[in-house]
Amino acid sequence: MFALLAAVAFHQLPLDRLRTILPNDAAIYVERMPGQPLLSIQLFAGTKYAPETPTTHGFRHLLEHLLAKGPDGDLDKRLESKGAFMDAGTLRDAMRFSISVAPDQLELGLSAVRDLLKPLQTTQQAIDRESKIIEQELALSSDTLDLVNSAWSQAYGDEGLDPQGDMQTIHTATPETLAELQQRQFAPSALALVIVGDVDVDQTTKQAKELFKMPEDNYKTGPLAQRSVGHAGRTDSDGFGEARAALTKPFGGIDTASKLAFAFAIAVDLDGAFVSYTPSMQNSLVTLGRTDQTSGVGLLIDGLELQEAYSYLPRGRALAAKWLRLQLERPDTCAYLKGLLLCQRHSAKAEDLLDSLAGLDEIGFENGFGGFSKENAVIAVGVR
Amino acid sequence: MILALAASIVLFPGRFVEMPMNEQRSICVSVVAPLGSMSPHDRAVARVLAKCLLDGTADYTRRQLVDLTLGNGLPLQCTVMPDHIRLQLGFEPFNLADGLRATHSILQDASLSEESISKALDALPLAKGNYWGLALQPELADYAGVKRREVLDLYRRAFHPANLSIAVSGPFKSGQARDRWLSFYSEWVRTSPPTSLPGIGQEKAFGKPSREITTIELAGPEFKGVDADFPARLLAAFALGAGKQSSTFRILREKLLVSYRQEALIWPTADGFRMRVIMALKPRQDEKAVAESAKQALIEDVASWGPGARERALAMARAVYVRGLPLNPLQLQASGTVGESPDDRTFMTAYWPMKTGQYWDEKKLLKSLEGVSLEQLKAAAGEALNSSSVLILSGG
Repeated sequence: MFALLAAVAFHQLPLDRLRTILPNDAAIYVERMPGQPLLSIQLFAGTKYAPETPTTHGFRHLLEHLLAKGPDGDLDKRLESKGAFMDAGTLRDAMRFSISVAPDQLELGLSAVRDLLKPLQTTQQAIDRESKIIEQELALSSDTLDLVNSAWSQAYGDEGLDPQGDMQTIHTATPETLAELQQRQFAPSALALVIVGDVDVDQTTKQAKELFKMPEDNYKTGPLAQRSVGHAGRTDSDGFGEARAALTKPFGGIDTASKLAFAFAIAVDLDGAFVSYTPSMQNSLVTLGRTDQTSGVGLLIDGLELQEAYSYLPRGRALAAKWLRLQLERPDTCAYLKGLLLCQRHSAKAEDLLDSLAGLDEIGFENGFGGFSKENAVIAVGVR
Repeated sequence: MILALAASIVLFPGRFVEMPMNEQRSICVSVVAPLGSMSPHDRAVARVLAKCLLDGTADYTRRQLVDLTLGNGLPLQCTVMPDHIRLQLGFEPFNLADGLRATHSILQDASLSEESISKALDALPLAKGNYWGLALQPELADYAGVKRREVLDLYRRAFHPANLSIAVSGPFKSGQARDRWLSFYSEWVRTSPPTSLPGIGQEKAFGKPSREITTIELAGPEFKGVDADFPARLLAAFALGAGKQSSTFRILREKLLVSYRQEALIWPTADGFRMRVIMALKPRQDEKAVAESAKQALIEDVASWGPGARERALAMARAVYVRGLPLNPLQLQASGTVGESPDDRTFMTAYWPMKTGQYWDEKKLLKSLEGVSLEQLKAAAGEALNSSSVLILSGG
């Protein structure tokens, strides 16, 4: 009797989160965060069928720029006049459009997503114009980004090409090549729409579903792109500084947990240090580096005895868990992390990493430490 | 007991504000101390102090400080801005007492050892900043001849209790943080009141970019945070720089195609604030001409603003101050916009009264922005641009 009452009570509670996989394999995730003044709506188009290649290097970036303007070129105007805001980005494993609105502006945000999903209508003139802006963007690359990109190229070769692109290749883009790319990048099984904020989960999911009723001939699939096992080694970089990058397995397991924890723990002891990790359901990198000097990272790591390295475990575990919890606390960062994982694998759960971190012991941490050793890591150094 | 507490409160000559926030998961402490106008030498002394301050105290090693202050997930840091030095700490709620003791120890008993200062003096002159950081803080720091005694002098002056503005927020009971702080303050060794910083000239000199990137700045005139037209100037910064429909984005990026990154921001100076429009671009031969045409195009754009521009700016301001959109043009830290995180809110609680003598109140600020007319908005933006001086840090 008590169990029955409990069950009834449970069903009467509003859902806090709901993941829905549609018949065409597109994914929707809605999470309710009561009282949050920001509602984050993020669309992710994974690179499952649209990997970066030397012949298309930067086309995805260009496509992202053009789509972000909206079909009529007035998407930002529509949003910002009401205090909403959209930003977009091209990552190694996905293209991302993030719309921030007030909780009562769900429909405004969804209308922007509707526009982003429409087939691209563009001209060569518009492409050439946008290429000039990307040329300016590429010129602003940072030392950190250059070091990380060098490490990726060393580790994964052409499978680790940076998402910003190459200007020479970008200049070869045409409306047709971008339209074809869009069909693969926006294949439903590579799409994830994530909505996080003070919303009704059921009702919001219902509204979101309507967006993904897309004609089948609007998209293409193909062989699933998967990064191979990475290679350790040393490489020169255009970025000033030094970086050590550990090869990592897909997000969530003890491998990622140990390497992130180690990187965070060590970074605290290094002035000007950075840790770079973009959550991925493929083989990836956790990079620890510095851009104020060209040495110090390797010296510190290689100088550690195992027992000494163990002493970093509590700090690393606490910092990595704190980082993850901070991501999950805010609608925008929560939607970012969950959407990025969801568009790559429907079963992916951001919280898995918290479990792995909680269970991280000295044996696990040794894996993290070992991943950054000079034998196992990717080393990128840039001098001027 | 009550009398003793009251007496203690009177005895603390600085500003201490506690903010019990039950929903917060960690304790945030922000300590802000004003710095006067700085010469390149003074700036170097301040940066050395910031770099060495957390290397240990009489009671805590650096490692103990680091491990104690993991609570907010952010690095323990001390930073220098044109008008203040800032210490930011975060710790777990159960560490309230020890965290405040550590804060007190840093402010009163920092080691600032010869070795630590010597290391900082080796590293800082060679540190390579990123192009945007350099654009934000282009003023040179002259490390030649910096002595430990100067660092210690600044430490005593800047962190003299009378100089401090401290804010503490987190899940604790009302009075708990304050009482704990006062108990530590009662142990504080009294020193004479601070005097102004030593000035060794105010020569104009700027750093060189570490990468081949040019930044162009249109620097508006200085103003105060208590000026009657402050709301108009802040709203003008929203209209000029916040969002993709802002003037800088539309004109500099989309129309002139000269820059991918451009911002309009309100930046602190030793005596007040200044509006700055900064753009970053690939180096080119005609940078002076680009700067002039950018300035002219922005002035023309401002002249064409209608009610829609004001409404959009207000909508963006609401998004920033109500929903925490990270596009606040009031930039009070080199690492980016001050947002709605507990650390940032705690910082504003400490900083704003120090700077303006008024409490930070976003609702009140927003209301004052809503009172700005289109004419006032255009006048503020127009004045900032028309009287701006051009600074080019050429990466070519």
